[in-house]
This record gives sequence, C-alpha cells and structure tokens, in this order.
Amino acid sequence: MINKNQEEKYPKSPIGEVIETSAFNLTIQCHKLYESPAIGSLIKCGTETIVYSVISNIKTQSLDTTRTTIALAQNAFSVEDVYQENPQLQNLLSTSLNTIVVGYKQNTHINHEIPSIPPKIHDLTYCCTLEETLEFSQTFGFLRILRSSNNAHIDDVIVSFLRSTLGNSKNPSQLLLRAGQELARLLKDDTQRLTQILERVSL
Amino acid sequence: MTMNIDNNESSLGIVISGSLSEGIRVRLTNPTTVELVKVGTFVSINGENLKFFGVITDISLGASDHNIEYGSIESSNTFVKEVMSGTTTFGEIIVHPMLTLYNTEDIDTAFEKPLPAKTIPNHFAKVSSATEQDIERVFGSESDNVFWVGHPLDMESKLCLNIKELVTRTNGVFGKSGTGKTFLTRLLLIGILQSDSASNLIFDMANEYGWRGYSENINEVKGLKQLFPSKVAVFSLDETNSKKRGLTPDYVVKFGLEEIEYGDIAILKDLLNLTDLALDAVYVLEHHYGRKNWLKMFLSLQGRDSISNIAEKLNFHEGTLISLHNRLSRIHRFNFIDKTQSHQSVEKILEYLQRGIHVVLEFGRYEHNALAYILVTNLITRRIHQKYVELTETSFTKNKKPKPIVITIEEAHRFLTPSIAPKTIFGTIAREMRKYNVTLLIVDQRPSSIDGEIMSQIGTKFACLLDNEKDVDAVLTGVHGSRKLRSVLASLDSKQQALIFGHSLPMPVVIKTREYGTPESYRSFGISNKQDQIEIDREELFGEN
Repeated sequence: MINKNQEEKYPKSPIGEVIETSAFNLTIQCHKLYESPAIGSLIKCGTETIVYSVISNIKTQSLDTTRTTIALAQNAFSVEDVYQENPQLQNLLSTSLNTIVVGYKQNTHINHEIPSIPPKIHDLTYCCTLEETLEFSQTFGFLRILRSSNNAHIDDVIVSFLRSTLGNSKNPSQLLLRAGQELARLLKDDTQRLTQILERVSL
Repeated sequence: MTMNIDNNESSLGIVISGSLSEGIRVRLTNPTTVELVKVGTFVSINGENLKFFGVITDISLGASDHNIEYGSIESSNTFVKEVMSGTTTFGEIIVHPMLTLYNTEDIDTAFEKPLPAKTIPNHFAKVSSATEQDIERVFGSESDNVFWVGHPLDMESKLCLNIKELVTRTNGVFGKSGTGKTFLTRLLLIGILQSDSASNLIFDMANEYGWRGYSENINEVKGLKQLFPSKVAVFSLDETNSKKRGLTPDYVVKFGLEEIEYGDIAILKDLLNLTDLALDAVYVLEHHYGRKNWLKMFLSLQGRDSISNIAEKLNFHEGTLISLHNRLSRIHRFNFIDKTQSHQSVEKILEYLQRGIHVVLEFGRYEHNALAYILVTNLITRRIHQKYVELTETSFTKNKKPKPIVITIEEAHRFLTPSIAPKTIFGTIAREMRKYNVTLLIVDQRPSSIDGEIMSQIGTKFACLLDNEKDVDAVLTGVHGSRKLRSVLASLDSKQQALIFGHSLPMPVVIKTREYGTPESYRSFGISNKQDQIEIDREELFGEN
C-alpha cells in the first residue's frame, strides 16, 4: 500500500531492478527479501523514458530453481527464529514482482500507452509516491490496458490499485467516481463484473 | 418542478439513432435529468446545416447490458449506482422533429419561417430545450392578430396564436370535465375579441361567459361583459335569473311559435323520444298548415277528437299524433316561447354581431335543460346561416364581405352526433360555412360522439386531458404523427394544460394555459380599473386570502 509508512519505507532508494522485460510485462527482483510494495501499487523504472507499471503478483522463491525449499520450522517457535537460525536464507531466497506496463512519461508528459521500447534489464525500479500516483491517475485511460491484460486476477489488481492509491487521496470520492465511470465504459456489456469491482472498491 | 437544466445550459443530450417516422432517439447527457424531462416539451436539435424543432414524445430508460434489464444486478451500494447512471444505464428521449430552419447566422435567412421537417439530423447532433427566441421564431410574438394563449411546458416564454388564421376554420376545445375547457375558451374568445377579426356569438349554456364564472375552488372570475363592457352584449333567455346574478341583460330573447320549423324538431328527435313516423308527421303537418302556423295550430288542438280528426285527414295513426302533441307541448311550456306574437330576436343578434359587438346568450334557469339549449341554438344558428349565405352572395357584387362570426357551442356532441350531424345546421357550418364567414368553436367533453367527418374539418384543436381511448382517437384522427401525440395527450396535467395542434400553428405544442381570474391577469389584457387596483393593493397588504 502506498501510504505514509510506505513512503518512509521506500523514500527515494530503489526497491529492486528489472530482471525480465517485455513491452507489456516486467519482472522485478527486489533488493531485499520480502521488501516489496503491495499488489496494485504503481512503480516506475527507466531514466529518459520513465515506464510505469502496476504490480500484479509478488513471488518469493528459491534463487536456484533446481533446488527446492524445504521445511525448517519444525522445532522453531516462530518464523523469525527460522530466519535467525538460518541466515543463509537471505541469500538463497529472493522476492520478485510481476508488473503490467500501463504507461510512460516522456518530457514531463504522461501517456497511458505501451512504451515503444521496453525498459532495460537491471533498470532500477522505484515505488511511486502518492503524488506521483495521483499525477499518473489524472485520467484513467490506463484502466483499458489493465483490463485487457491476460491476467486471470486482474480485477483484484484493479481493486487494490483504486482502493489503496485513490482511496488515500484528498478527494477520494470524486476520483473514484471518475475511475468507476471509466471502468463502466470498459465493462459496459459485463455489468456483473463491473458491479463486483465497484462494490469492493467502495468498501 | 422546472428543469434545472435551464439554469446553466439548456443542453439535453445527443442524437444516437432514429427515423423520421418513429422519431429521433436522444441519449441524455446528464442521467439525473431523466426525471426532470417531460413529455410534450419543446426542444431544438442543432444539425449541421439545419436546425430542427420538435416535441418530446416519449422517455425511456436504457442499459448497455441485458443483465440490468433482467434484474440480475442488484446493488444497494450508492457508489455502484452513481457510477452506473450515465454510463451503463442512461435516460433516452424520443423527439419527434416537426420543423426545420437553416442553421445560419445570416440575417436574411434568420427571419424565414420554419418549414415542416422532411429529414432528420445527423448522429451526435446536440439537443437542447427550446429557448425563448426559438418559441418566438416558431409561433410569433404578441401583436394585434397574434394572441398570447399560454406558456410552453416548463417555460416562461409566451406562446402566441395567430387569431386571424384561427377564425378562418372551425375549431375545437376538448377535454374531460374540470380540465379547464371553459377557461381556455374564455381566453380564445378574448383573443378573437381583442384582435377584432370576428364577432363572437356564444351560446352560454351554463351562464359562465357573460357576467361571471366560477373556478373550481369557487373563486369568482369575471365574464366578458365585465372586462369589455362596450364590446360585449349579454342576451338572456331568462331575465329574472340574470338579474338575480346581478346583471341586467342587454336584450331578452323570445321566439314566436311560428319560427319553429321541421328542422328544429328533427334535431330534438332523441331528446323528445320521437319516432321516425312522428317526424314524418311533423313534416306533413308543416306542409298541411303552412310553415308559419303549423306548430301553433297543432298545439292549439284541444281534446282527443280534434287530434283524431286531423290524424284521419292526414292519414296518420291517431296514437302517433297524440304522443307527438304531448311531446311538442313541452316546447310550448318554455317561457321564452311566445305563443301570441312573433319576435325579432335573431335579427337583433345579427345586428349586434354586424356592428362588431360580441353576443353572449345566457340560458338562465335553462342551464341544465338540453331541450331548451338545443332548440334555441339550432333556431338561431339556422337563421344566421340563412342570412349569411344571402349576405355573402350579395357581397360578391358589392365587394364587401360580412363580418366573420365565430359561434361557440358547448356540449357540441349533442348537435354533431353522426346520426343528426348531416341534418343539422351545425354539420353544414362545420363542413362548408368557412366560405360564408361563419365558423364554429366547438367545446366538448366527448369528442368521440362527434361525427368523424366534422372532426376532420376542425382546423385547430385544443385538447385538454382526455382519458377515454375513443375520445383520444377521435381528437387525433387525421393528424400526422398522431401515435406519438397520444402519449403526450394522455400525460397532460388535469388542469391548465392543453395540447394544441392544427391549422393555425406550425407544430403541435403543449401549453400551460395563460392565467385567468386574478387582477394581474385582467390587467394583462390591458384592462385596469379602480376595483382591480384595490384588489391588488389588498393582496399586497394582506396576502392572498
């Protein structure tokens, strides 16, 4: 969630770097185990062209895919004990993010489109502040890109994005209404799905 | 409630589909306006080259997804409703285009009269509620021959009627009892009076037009004589009754028995319950005794024997003549029928009318007596008809036409039912008297009972609320796009609203009838006197009582 705590947690230092890139999706490996923004958060990477993407999945797994993780907490009192007793885990495991590219910024102008050239591998990735997210969400054309991604759980990603980012703005009801109207236009022939999203956003 | 869309901008929505025959579908831009839009409202559509004027004939709700129609979406969540209204759910109106104008700022074409719509606007053309200028451009503004009759629905602008055009045809005011027919008629009569385009002859069955009338909440309203004393003469059939109501009639109308003819009895066939045979007998009696004396002679027969004698002589059954005698003596008993001498009532009426004085004929105590009403109305009108045919025919040589007359009849269906309309003088006037400068103003609550041929001759129709299907059909027959006007007609308010369409208007329009009965309303006719001023002052001081 992007809120005060999160801004303090990810001030200006990068949260990770791009390890897999395409025009539509990025994979980002976090620099620190388990230290990732929440699903639905807006992140950015790139220098000349800043590419924005929304986190659609967070994975933590063994770095070496040939070696599976085994259960270690048999005799431990808590999960923290396990990590304390096995400091090597910090280097054997890694947290990565899947994101959906939703737009880019060039010469201070934000476009809700796929960038013509995807970011480079190892591009540093930053979590967007609330101001940046709101600047990006002045219009809601990016919802079209989110909705057309082939992610099975995209509705949850949209709900998380709207609830966490716009919900924390100064004037949430106006922004949420506009976002909702954009969604209603996109989902005009599937009101069942629309209602489910809207009901969850307004909670 | 008036439309708040008037405040900032009058834009209603955009054209999304439609046809000339079915009307234009317009999607409302602001979904909340759907409850504020009313059927019958006058709107304009800005096409690329043409500006269209039309009337809202239907309002509906639309949805982009069928699930909404099937009711499978149920959400009490206000946010969901807020988002959906205007996006997946929306309001639609059907606008029936009536007139077109070139959409131009050019001064030369700006004053052109609108033409009937023969095409429709493009997709996405902007639809707005009509402005005051639109109304003026289509219906004209108040002037000598153009009379302000009311306001278009939910608008302040004045809707005007061309009275000169109006009086050239027979017109009709229709509506259920208590919907404001009499008030509307009064306004039309004042319009005719003020424009001086015709003389009014009003058969005032319920004594409402002459001296004073009453509104539904028993407030007294002024009659024509009080407002225009020098231009209106009140004739009365019943002097005592008129005096009781505080009015001295200008003339007391009486008729001699010799003025009654076969045609006058024929129209009373149903009321007197006469058989065809009895009517034949009237015809034969008239032939036998002579046109002037037949009724006098026949009614003077005393006793069964004398009637039997005449029956035998004329080859009629005795019983027929006896029952005819009984029934005709009802006419004999009316006070306004003078058994002894003849009178010049009709000549007097004609004289007044020719001088441009408007005549109100009060029926006094006969107000609920259909027999007296129909007898007198027919008697007078028949004679006026004769006179006018003569006058018009001689006028061809003198090149001076007689002053047009508008005859106002209430309960018109009694004269104009299909069975008797062809026989009565009213049928003739409705059909052809336009040529002779006599037209009718028909006021009625059962238009379905009026002969279809006559209904189709009516120039301008003023329809207040009508419920009965047959009545609605009767009023709308022969009107282009009548199916769409039906919903407009059925949704009129029960008071002070009317749908006007026909000859003297470029397009149908729903109006809120002009106010009548308050001191301000009298002043708006250009009448002001001390008493009015006192009433206004009193209202201002103490409020309305």
